[in-house]
Order: sequence, then C-alpha cells, then structure tokens
Amino acid sequence: MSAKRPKGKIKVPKKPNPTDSQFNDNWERLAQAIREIHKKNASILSFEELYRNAYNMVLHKNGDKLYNGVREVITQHLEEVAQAQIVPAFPVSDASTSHGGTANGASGASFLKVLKSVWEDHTTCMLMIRDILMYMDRVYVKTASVPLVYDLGLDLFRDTIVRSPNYSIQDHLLNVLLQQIHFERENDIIDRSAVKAAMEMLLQLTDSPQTGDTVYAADFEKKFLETSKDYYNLEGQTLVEKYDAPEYMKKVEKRLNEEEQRINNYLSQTTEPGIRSIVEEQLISKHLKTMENSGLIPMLNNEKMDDLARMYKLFSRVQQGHEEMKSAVSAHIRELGKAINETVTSATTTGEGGSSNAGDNRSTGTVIAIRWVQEVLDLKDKFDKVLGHALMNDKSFQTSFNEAFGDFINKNPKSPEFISLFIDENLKKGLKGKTEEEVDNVLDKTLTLFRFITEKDVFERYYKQHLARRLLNQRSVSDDAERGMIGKLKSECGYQFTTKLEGMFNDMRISNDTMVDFKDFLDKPDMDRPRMDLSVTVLTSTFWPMNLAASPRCNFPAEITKACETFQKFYLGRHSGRRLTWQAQMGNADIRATFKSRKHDINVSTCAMVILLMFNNLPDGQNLSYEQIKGETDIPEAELKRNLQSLACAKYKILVKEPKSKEINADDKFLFNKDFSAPLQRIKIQTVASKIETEGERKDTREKVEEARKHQTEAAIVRIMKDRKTMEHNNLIAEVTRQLQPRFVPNPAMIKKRIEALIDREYLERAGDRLECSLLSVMLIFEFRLFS
Amino acid sequence: MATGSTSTNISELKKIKLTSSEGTEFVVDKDVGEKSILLKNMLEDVGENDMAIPLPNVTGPILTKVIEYCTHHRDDFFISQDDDNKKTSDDIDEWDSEFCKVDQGTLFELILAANYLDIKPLLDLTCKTVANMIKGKSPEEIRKTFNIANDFTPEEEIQVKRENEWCEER
Repeated sequence: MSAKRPKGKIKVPKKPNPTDSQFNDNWERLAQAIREIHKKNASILSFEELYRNAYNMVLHKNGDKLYNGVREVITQHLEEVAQAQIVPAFPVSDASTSHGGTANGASGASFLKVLKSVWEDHTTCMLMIRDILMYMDRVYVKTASVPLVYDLGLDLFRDTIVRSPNYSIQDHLLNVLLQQIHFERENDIIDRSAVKAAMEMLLQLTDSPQTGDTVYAADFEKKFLETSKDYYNLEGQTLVEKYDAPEYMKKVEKRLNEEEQRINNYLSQTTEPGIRSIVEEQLISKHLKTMENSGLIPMLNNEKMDDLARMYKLFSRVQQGHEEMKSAVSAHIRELGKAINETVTSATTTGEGGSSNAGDNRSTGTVIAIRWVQEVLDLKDKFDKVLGHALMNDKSFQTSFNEAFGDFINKNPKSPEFISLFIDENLKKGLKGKTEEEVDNVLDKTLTLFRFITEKDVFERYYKQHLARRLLNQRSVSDDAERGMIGKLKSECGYQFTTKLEGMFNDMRISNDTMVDFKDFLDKPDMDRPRMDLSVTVLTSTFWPMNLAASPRCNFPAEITKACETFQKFYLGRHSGRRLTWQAQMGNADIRATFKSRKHDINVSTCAMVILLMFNNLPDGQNLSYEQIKGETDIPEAELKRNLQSLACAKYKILVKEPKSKEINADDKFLFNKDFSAPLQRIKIQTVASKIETEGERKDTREKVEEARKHQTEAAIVRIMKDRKTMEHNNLIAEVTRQLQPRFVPNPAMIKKRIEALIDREYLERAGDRLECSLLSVMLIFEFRLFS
Repeated sequence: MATGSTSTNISELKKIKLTSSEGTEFVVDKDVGEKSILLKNMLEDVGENDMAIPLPNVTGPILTKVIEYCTHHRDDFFISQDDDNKKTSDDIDEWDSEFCKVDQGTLFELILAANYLDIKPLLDLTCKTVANMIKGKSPEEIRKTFNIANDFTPEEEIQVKRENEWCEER
C-alpha cells in the first residue's frame, strides 16, 4: 500500500477524530452483529454499516482491539456450542457392552452428524465475518502478521472444539472415526458421508503454523495407522490359520482394494502409502514363507495360473517378495529336475544290470535318453507357461529359472549325450510322422536345453558320433533338417563349433562325386572288374569321430581285398600323398543268400558280411567255432561278438548257434541256417549296437574329451599370452576361463597345470610373478594343433 | 461502451443503487459497481435486491468521480502490481492523468474513497499522482505545494539537511 493515511498538517475535509466512546460504540455494534450471525440472523444486518465500522476502527489504529474482540466473541460462541450441542451428542461409551456394535455405531454416526453441522455452521459464519472484516484482513492483519480472520476462526474451532480443553471431544471424535472404520472393515454399512465430512474438517484445520501439518495428520492419521496395524496383524494370523494360500491371497487382495477404496472414499491421499505399507507388511511380508510353503508348490503342480499371477502381483508389493518367490520356484525346479535325473539313473542301472539281452539294453538306453529330454522339455514348457501367464515374463524370474534348469541339467553327467541322442532320434525317424515344422519346433526347444549345458564340447563329440552314424548308414531322412540343425548350432556357438560338422557333410558330397568317377573308371574295357559293386566313402580323419589308430582290424576275403585295392589305385592316382584306412565297422554290404525255400537279399554290416562269406566255402552241415571265426577274420572281440549276436541271436537267424543262448561265448559253434525263411525278399540285419555308451566307452569318451580340453586350454593360454606378452597368473586364469566358457567350464587347477606344462616345454616363462611368452613357441603350438 | 450492449449479458446490465453521504442516489451498472471489492463482496453476501446501498463515507461529487473512473475502466482487467520492481509512478496514461487534474482536496477525498471502497487501481493512481507532485521538489517547494508549515527549528533543519545530503547531490 503506497498511500498512508494523510494526517497531521495536511488538510483533509473530513477528519475523523476517534474517541474511546466512538470505538466502544463501533465495537459493540460489530460484536452484536457477529452474535446475530451466529444466530443465523445475518439478513437483518447492514453489510455496509458493519464494514464501515470495521473500516473506521482499523483506520483509527484500533485493529488489535477489533481483532482480539472478534477472537473473544467467536471463542465464547464456540464454547457455548460445544457445551450445548456437542457434549449431549457424545456417543454411548465403549464400556457399555449392553449395546451391540451397531447401536454404538449408530450413536457414533449421529455424533459425527452433529459435529458436521456445527462445523458447517461455523465455516458459513466465518465466511460472513470475514467479509465484514475485509478491511481488517487487508490492512491490520498484514501489518500485525496475525492469521487472516477466517484462519483465526479455524484455529479457534480447533482449540475450542476439536481439541477442547474442557470436554473430551477429541477422544470421542477419534474413537468414533476409528470405530466406524473398524465397522466397515467388518463389512458393516456405515455413513460414509458423515465420516468424510469429519475427515475434511480435520484436513482443513492446521496443526500449528510451524509444521504446516493438518490436524488430520497430527491427531488422526497416526492413531489410524496404529489401530490398522493391530487389526491386520490379528487378521493375518487368523486368515493364515483358516485358509490355504490361494484363498488367503484372494482375501489379501480384497483387503488391499478395500483400503484403497477407503482412501478414495473418505481419507486423505496422504494416508495411502502408510496404510498400504501396513497391509503389505502385516498380510504379505509377515506371511511370505507360509504362503510359499502352503501354496506355491501345489499351485505350480496344478498350474493355477490365476493364483500364481495373484501371488506375483502381491509379492511385488513387498521388498523381499519376488526374491522369495523366485528362489522358492527355482528350488522347486531343481527338485523336479533332480527327480527326473533320478528316474533316469535308476532306469539306466536296472537297464544295464538287470537285462542280459543286449538288444533290450540298447533300446532302453535310447528310450531313457529320450524320456529324459522329453521330461525336461515338458518341465521347461510348463515353466515357460508359468512365466508367460502368471509372471508377466519377468526377466529376473526367467534368469533364475534358467539357472535352476542349468543346474540340474548339468548335474546329470549324461545330459550332453542324451540331448544329442534326442536330436538323433528326431532327425532319424521323427520326420516320418511329423511335419517339418513340428520337427523344427522340437529341435528349437532342444536347443534351449543345449544352451544350459556347460560341457558343450562333450555334446559336440556325441553329436559328431551320432551324425556320423546317420550319414554313413544313410539314416538321416532329410538333408535340409540336418543342415538346419547345424545352422542352429552355428548361430548358437559360432563358426568354430560347427566347422567339423560341416566338413562331414562336405566329405559325403565329395564321396558321391568320387563314386561316379570311379564307376567311369571301372567301365573302361581294360579293367578287371570286381565281381561286386563297391561303394566307398572317403572321410577326412580330423572331421570324423573315428579313431584312426584304434580302428578295428578285419581281414577281408581276397575278392574284397582286390576290389579295395582297385579303388585305392584309382583314388591315390588322383590324389597323391593321402593315406586310406579302411573302417570296416562303419560299412555295410548287400548279400544274396540262397536258402532252402528261396533267395534273400540280406543287408548286413561289413564285418557280418566277412563272417558270412566264410560259410560260403563250407561243406553242408559243417560248422565253424568262435575261435575259428576270430582267427580267420581278426575282428576284435567286442565287435565280433556284436556281429555274431545280430546274425545268430536276433530277429533273423541266418546262423544257428550251438548251444542256443542269447550270449556269445568263446566255445560256441555256428552253422549256416539253411532252413531260414522270411516273408520279405529283402531283409536288413541291424547290428546290435549299444547306442548309449557302455561304461567303458563312456570312460573312453571322457578321456578323449579331457585330452581335447587340454589342447584347447593350452591354445587359449597361448592365444592370450601372444596378445598380452606378459600377464599376471590370476588374470590369465580368469581370461582363459572366460574364453573357454562357451564350450566348457575349465577348472582353475586344470588351467594351472596347463600353464605349468607350457612352462616346462618352454613356451612360457616366469617373469617375477608374471608370465611371459615368446612368439616362436606360438608357431610351434599352432602346428601341433593342426595334427591333433 | 455502447458497442458492448449487444453482446453483454442481460444479467450484467443489472443496475445497483448507491447513496452518497448527502443522500443522493446514484444508479450504476452492476459491473461498474463491482470494480469496488467492497461492493462486490457485499452484493455476493447480501444478494440481489433493490435496496440502495448507503455509502456514508463518500460525498456525492467524489462518488461521481469514482463512478466516472470505474465506468471508463469497466472493461479493463486490473493486474495487481504488487511486484515491487514494477512499482513506478510514471506509467499513468493520458485519460488517467487528465482524470487526476483536480484540486488537492478532491484528490485526497478520492484517495480515501478508493481505500474505503477497495478499488485498488484507483488507489494506486491517486497515490501515484500525489507521489508525482512530490517528486523532484525541494522541501520548501513541497511545503508550499501541500501547504505544510515548517515546524523544524533552524538547528533541526540544518541537522536534517546534513543527514540527507547524500541523496540530493545532483
């Protein structure tokens, strides 16, 4: 206000000269007017006159008197109201148990109504008073820095009514409010509008200018939260005892919704976090374990997606919730996985130990492998479903699930073999019954299991074996499917992983071309043509899983040897510097055999053919002893037994064995079965082969894998050292582990040993606590790798 | 102002009656009257009726001037200039300065009326006018302008002048 009242010497036309009597007169009128307003008689008053009175009082520096006078009049009025209206309306005391809860509630509600009308009257009056005293608000209040008259009215209401020092209004009010809320929680109907009005009143009253809090926050909210805590503590305990987890969670969800509704209906939004955290704490956090123990597993087993989703949602509200749930589900996965692993191991042991029949053994082995993979896949499917339907594809859950899967899959030492077998089975037979898409689907799923395997190099070895068998026996139904699978592995593990597998395909193709050329070569007129067709597949030894040095010996009959030599001559004539080694155990032969009733075309393995050819030159009725056959053919014992078994003991008995039994013994004798007959012209004699490895073979594979790992580890060490020149021991181990991770998880002791070995061979040397390596040695080791 | 009549709402064209201290009755449009916060609040509280509102603090001539001011500015939106930096006495437009060319007595009564009726822009205008009358004048000139007797003793006057030397060095 830039203008001060002109005073003193300035000549003002109408210069008021206030006296005490004038002031008293002015004030008396105002006080009377306020009283009339309180009596709701405002209409008889002249607004202008009152304003002018107040104006004059303030103008003449009597603002403080006016202000204090007003305060007194209002206080006095409120005291009267408290005594005359509120106290009689006090609800029936809590102690009077003769009244039921509802009666109590009703009297509480009527108390609230009285309070509400008092409050409304007061605010209406205060608005009128404010307007009359507008000039005071505008001038006096600012300079004296006291609350505006309306706020003064609110403060007076707070101090004389709500927190009355004379009557226990505050206690009654808070009790009634809490009681009403309690009734509503117990599903009684309450007068929400009355409660809401009371809440709004408390919200408009400020606690004190310092804190700026409302009376609602200071008086009510704290008590409300306390009672709520007690209430839900009790509720939680009773509910947990009464209901199972799904039902319990429904109740909790309902409670949460109710409290949210309550906030919207008549409480302040500021209370929302407090009450929510109380319900969460009391109903969820406290009973996390109970809910998990009693409910989670059955829900998972019965695929109760809604309940699981509810659990996920509820648990997300509290801090440890998801962690708990995650670890519980993962533990369950591990549990189920362990069970799957156990059925497999028990089945394998009974399969190997209990059955004396090699054929059964073989099939059970494969069946077990397939069942294992199938069960793991089913489990994976199930939890993928849970993840998608109930857990909103939560990434952290997925990670935790994957860890659990990885854990138990890697606990089964045969998992790489099983998975490879499963793929083998699908690429071999599966295509017949299924569409390509289905197979692709299955393979994709299998690949997810493959991802879990830490020993990918072991898998590679098995896969190579199985692939080799499929290729050489022409069992793989679709070349596309095979290539598709390799493509998948390639994108999964990189180029290195599949080079050898691709090399195998390449060999097959080149061999086909070679055979066409070989036929042309034989068609030349001057050739001494062998008496049978010879089909040769030339394999690059590094690509294929066969061991050159350990290839079983087999003496071919002269005729075949001759044919082989012809091919050798042809082949070496085209490619110099190569060495051919015949792998008898991989091939097969078609033989036309004449029996008493008819002729049959029999497809047998190369070794079986060699055995059968021995009977060709034998007079009728004469037999050959096991020892004779062994001596003649020079086939290793295990291989020989397998072949004899498939010829004499399996479905088609081309040979008759003396004495008859399922096993081959060293003193057995064999006789050509002239009486053999079969409905089909062409028959194929499957070589009994234990596809699932025997313990010995397994050990062998294991050793080979270990050996390969040694080389890979050394290669990795040198690769890293070549790059870094010097490096600390621990860093080197860490780096090697990181690099080898995609193929297998090396253990530090092994890496250390390899480093020692490299130092012994002077590829590396110690430089204090560091290691150094020289470039020359690197060349050596790479050459070394080429031959491996 | 006549141009607005077509578009102006009928309710806004309502009249209110005011009575000056001598009992003279003035009839003004409601929106003109409501430039006074006092009248505005009063009308809101008391409600519409035909009773004349007595204004015993304001004389007829002054009320005439006030109504002239409010009518001229009836369509203005007053922006409160409580922002201290913006306070200046130089932003008076032509009509307003013409409006303020009255004798001193009238000017002071206008100030009182504006304060009483709570018409902030009029109060600002009149006070600024007074401020402009003071601005740039020596104490003697100010005394002369407002007809103020010098109640300082010569010694006191020298003392005060010395104390205030810093602000009149120009």
